[in-house]
Amino acid sequence: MRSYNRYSLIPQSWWDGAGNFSNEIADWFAPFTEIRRHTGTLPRMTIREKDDNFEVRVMLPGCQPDSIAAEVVGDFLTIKAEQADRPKEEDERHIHCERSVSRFEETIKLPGRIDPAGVTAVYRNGILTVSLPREAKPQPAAIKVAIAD
Amino acid sequence: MNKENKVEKENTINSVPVCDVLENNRGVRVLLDMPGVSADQLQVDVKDRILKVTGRTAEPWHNRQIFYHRDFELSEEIDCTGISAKIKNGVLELTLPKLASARVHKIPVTTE
Repeated sequence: MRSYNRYSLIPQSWWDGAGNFSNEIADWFAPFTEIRRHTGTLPRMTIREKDDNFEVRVMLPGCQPDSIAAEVVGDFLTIKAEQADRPKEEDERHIHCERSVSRFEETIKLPGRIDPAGVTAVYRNGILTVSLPREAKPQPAAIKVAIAD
Repeated sequence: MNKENKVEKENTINSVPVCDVLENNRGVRVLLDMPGVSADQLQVDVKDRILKVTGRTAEPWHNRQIFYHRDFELSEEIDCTGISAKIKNGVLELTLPKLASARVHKIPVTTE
């Protein structure tokens, strides 16, 4: 049942707390509850509202930059990304697997109007940051009143 | 706990990075997802056969800094002095070579 444990590569913190579990099954599930406890509060996507722009950030570790696409239609931002294939050497086999190999697609409604021409996106250290400038507020145009007499 | 530590704790999110472990005859490869971490904010060390990986994000996430930490206990088969690490696009790759004595050596069989 513990085949992944062959090289004792489980985190130390898992077996530190394992004494609390009385039976084999609870002990086996302990690693997963531990992970959830640590990452449960970690949102994958964040949006920050600034004075002159909105900043959307997404955690996308291990993506090929050319597989990431961001699109703005009206108030909606769509982000698509594909996690890169994990190159596996010929004779390699997985002895433990937690990371997901997946496609990411998310559409969000932005909290305000934006200027689509000024949108920029940067992918750095596995985080995609999309900066969306707010739409310029229409300036009041003074109209000169001509006096017709 | 003094005040400074408390502030530090409130402003950080502790996270255990998810990992994949791959193995072949030459060694073991560990891949960890650590988005937001660059090479200079990452620390990997080995002591008493415990491999410790810690890293923090340069920029805050949800106004808090993410602190990644995961420990691995290494088996006797791993050559602790030959471990290498590289990070790309928020994925840390650790290469842990096996000791020569732990590798499979094929012995050719001949007939007379």
